[in-house]
Amino acid sequence: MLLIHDLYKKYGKFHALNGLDLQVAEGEIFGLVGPNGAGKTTSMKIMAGLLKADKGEVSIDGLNVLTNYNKLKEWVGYMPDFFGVYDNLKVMEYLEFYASGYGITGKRNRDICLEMLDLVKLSGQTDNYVDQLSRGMKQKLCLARCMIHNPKLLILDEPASGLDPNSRFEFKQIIKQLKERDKTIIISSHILTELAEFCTSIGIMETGRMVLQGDMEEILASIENSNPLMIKIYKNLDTAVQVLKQELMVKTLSIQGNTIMVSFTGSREEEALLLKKLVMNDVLVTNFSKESSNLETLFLTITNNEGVNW
Amino acid sequence: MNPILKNEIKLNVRTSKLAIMITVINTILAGFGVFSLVSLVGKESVIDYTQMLKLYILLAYVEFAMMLLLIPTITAGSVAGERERQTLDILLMTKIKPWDIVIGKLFSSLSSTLLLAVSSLPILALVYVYGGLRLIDFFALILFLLISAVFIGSIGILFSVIMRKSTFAAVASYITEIGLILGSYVAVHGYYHIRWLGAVKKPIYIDPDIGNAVYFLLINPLITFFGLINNQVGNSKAILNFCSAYGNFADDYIMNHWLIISLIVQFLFSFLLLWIASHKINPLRKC
Repeated sequence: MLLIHDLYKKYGKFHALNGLDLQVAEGEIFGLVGPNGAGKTTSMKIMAGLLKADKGEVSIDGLNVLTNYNKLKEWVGYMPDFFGVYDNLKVMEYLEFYASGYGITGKRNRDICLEMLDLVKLSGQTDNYVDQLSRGMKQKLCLARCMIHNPKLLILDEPASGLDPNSRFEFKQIIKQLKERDKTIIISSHILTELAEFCTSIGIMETGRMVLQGDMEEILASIENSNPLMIKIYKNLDTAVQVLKQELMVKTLSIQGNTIMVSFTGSREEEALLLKKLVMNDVLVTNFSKESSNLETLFLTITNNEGVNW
Repeated sequence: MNPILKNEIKLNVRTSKLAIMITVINTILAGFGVFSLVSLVGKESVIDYTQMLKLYILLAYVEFAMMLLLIPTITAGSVAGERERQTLDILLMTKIKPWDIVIGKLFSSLSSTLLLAVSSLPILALVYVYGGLRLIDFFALILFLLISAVFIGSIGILFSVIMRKSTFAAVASYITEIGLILGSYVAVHGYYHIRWLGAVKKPIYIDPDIGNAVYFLLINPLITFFGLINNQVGNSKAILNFCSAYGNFADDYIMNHWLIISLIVQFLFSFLLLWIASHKINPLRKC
């Protein structure tokens, strides 16, 4: 669906994008994550055709964004991170205006606007002025606006930023509904756990490059596998250390009091066998488990340049 | 109908700004009109009908001056205002062509000016009551104001596209407007003066003739307005007389058709400025 290859963008001396590569398949909900200044908004603006890259290629369904801009306007719906609204327009008029901007007129215009308002749960607000809406409602209205022409690809730049928990929950529900409508969605955030709930794949950006990209389930499994084993010993710590040192799948050991942190490359079965071996050697174990870590830890590790390889 | 124009008109009428502007300007015009009328009639209650034309000239100039003052502010805020309000990106994502955005913005800005011009017609009609002018003269005035408004407005729109802030765009528009009105005159007069300095040094003095350089004044809306108003009140040679100071243009075709040619030049310039603006507003432009 979307293919980005070797994308570069510079603002003065600041390199916003440094050879970004990205691939998003049709029907995916792709979470684009990165700290502030990683290049998320710049890359999204380039995808939406609102910014010209210095170098590189962006294509949607095989069509180059630069040379097929007008066609791509039909395919792409874009919701910027910061956006304004026309305060003197009513909610319905606001949507009708943008629908007419896509050549949708007459009864069809009104019907589509009503459908979109229903989707984002703003049906009761049609006759209210936009400036009377809360921030969350404005965000939802903007989401309705970017779907008004039924685009195949939605580019949502931090759509849930600044929302309270209730509005965030509503937003997630809407995104899930959009997934059911077979939309391809690229959604950015600097809160990785938030995206983990509904994204099918993620990409982590850092200093204008993609440092990690892949299927959400695979990444979660990788995290689980790469976490160290935490073994708490009640008795015979020295024996436990000797046993562990003899194991080929144990890469590193660190001892903190009566707790041993073990970098272990084996499978779940091999973990169980290791526990059995410890017990057989008269080591009394009170805890044997993988250290808990999540996407957020992964994100922090990667963006702090601690050199994680996947 | 252009969706931008439709939307902007809707937004304009929902603010009190337009109503206040029309009230203030028409009050100023009416004040000028009534005060001048009272002055012209005098205490004897005897009306000199030829003096009524002076009232028309005065009111037309006031209206033209107000147009020159208002349009840069209104147009400069059009596209830059969208950028400041953070609605421009969203607008550019629609299928509305850059040219339509620019034209929609221009005509929505000018709709207020046109409304102003039409609403002030009853005040200008003070003169019509006493005779001396034809109805067509009023329409010619409105047409002229409209074309000049498009010209001045195009400058405002271009700066509104180029500059990020509407304040800067307004300042740049005013400077360009002053450059057009005063600058073109100073340029032509300066060129004549340089030629004159050369002429007085020669043994036999011959009046210098700046030739085609005088046509630079075709882009000056004030000169053309001066010609139009004088033409309407019976002095059809006003521009020729004005330009005669710079050479002999008695049989010159352009000089004899100055009004229409100047309006065409202004219109073409407007088109060029708007084309540049529509090119610049496109985020993926090649240069």
